[in-house]
Amino acid sequence: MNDSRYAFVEKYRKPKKTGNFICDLNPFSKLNLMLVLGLSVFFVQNYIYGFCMVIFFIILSAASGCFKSFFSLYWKVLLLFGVFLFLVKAAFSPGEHVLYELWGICVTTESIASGLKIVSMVLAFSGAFILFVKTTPMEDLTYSLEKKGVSHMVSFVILSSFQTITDLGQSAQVIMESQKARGIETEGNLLQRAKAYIPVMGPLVLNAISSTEEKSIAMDARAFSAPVEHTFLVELPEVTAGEKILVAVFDIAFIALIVGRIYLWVL
Amino acid sequence: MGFIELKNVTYTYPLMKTPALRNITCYLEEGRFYGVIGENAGGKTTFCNLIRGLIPHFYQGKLEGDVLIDGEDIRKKDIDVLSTRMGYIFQNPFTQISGVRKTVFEEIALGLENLGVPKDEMIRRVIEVAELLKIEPLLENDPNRLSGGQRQRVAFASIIAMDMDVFVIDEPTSQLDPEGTERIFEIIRMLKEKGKTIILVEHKVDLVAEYADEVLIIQNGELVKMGPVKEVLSDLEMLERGAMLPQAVILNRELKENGIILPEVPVTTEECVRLLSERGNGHGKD
Repeated sequence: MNDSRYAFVEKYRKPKKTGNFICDLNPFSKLNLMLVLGLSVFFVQNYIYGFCMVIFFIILSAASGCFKSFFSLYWKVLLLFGVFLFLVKAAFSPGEHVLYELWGICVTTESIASGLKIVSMVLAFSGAFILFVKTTPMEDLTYSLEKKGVSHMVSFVILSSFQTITDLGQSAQVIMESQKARGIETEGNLLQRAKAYIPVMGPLVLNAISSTEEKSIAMDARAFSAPVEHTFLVELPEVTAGEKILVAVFDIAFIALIVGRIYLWVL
Repeated sequence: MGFIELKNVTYTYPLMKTPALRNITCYLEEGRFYGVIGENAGGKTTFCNLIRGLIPHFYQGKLEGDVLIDGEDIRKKDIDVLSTRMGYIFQNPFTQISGVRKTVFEEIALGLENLGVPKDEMIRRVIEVAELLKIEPLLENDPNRLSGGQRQRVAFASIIAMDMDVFVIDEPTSQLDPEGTERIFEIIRMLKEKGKTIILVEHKVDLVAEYADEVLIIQNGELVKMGPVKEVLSDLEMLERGAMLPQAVILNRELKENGIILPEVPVTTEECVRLLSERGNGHGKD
């Protein structure tokens, strides 16, 4: 294919690579590493380690080139869950060394430590999860699942579920714009917005159901359930020995951590 | 795919009281191009769903009579196997895009992946249909962000690339400009030349007259008339039954009313021009 219009086609002939080490990890390797790192905070049980992991995930997101999209979601989790959980734990957890007391709220040194611990755990784990989602295109994950023997149907359901979220957002936008064109107030305070949004929920859901039906026919037209072995236009590279070793090292360290923690609990 | 035969078929959609199709009997031969015309909500799409096997496999409802594909009852046919031999392009291009592929190129390749086509062959076929439909500039675009007309062409390309024996095509030009429409019909003609069986639902009756071998007129769920293009579309009685007829036929009627008699009823513009010029030459000689 010498035609310059089709230069982009060459990328399909080779296994998909972005050139970024983190993004190019196999989705299962990435999932494994993120789970090990995210869950490790629950076994280390130290908020300094937990917050170090939070910073580590932020650094990893920058290294993988998705800092912007990662942080735009992560800061909401930090703010919503982090601050809320900390305040609740700090205010109501029991402790002996009272720092502040007012109307039943009792902030102690122990409650603050407990708050920091739980916040660090939740934030570290959610950081691992968000980073995995942001660095792993869903089609890569479903490709890997299919390669492991998961049915084509399951992988399509996963992919289309994510797409449905986008589709619903777009449909809602279209309906709201139609409402606006009819002179219905869709902006303003919370009550006004609620008044505009609630009536569109019915048509939105009905539309989604009806388009699901049509989409399943469309997929049938594409021979989706054809009784033949499917091929792939976009393929992922084979997992390298180095990647396998990296994952194994993290897994062994994680198992050692669990064993150590159980040993400490028993003692 | 040999032939499609419908024997006294009546079909009623679930929860509906009146049938969408009534007492349809017809025989569709392999390698022929059938144009299906008729008023809106007359049963044309239901007819397509029926021969494509979506009725009764997808839409339950009440099916009476027999639909035979290659002599086998559609009820017993495996729809998954049928999907590898019978392509279906339907009306709404917005729901015909899978939504799970990031580029138009990948979208067109989806059906080929499902058919197990090897990668090099897949790439070759996608480029081939893209060039046929002149959608090369769209190949790297996100299929979810295309306009209606662009989606329609991508949906059409996706099915054409699958290179099946039979194509059931339901209003493929509803969102296209005249140039895009003409191109689609040229591709359909190419498919016909390759020996494919084509069942096309289309409101643009002049184009049907130009390209199809036979025409079926479906009105109010009934097959009003079926036969060779010339025979069906030159029947002025069809106008009284609410069917659209080609401009050439309408013009011929007007000419006749004004005392200009052509030797036969033209159904295409080309034919009309030929007959009129022949008549003109004849007068000139007189």
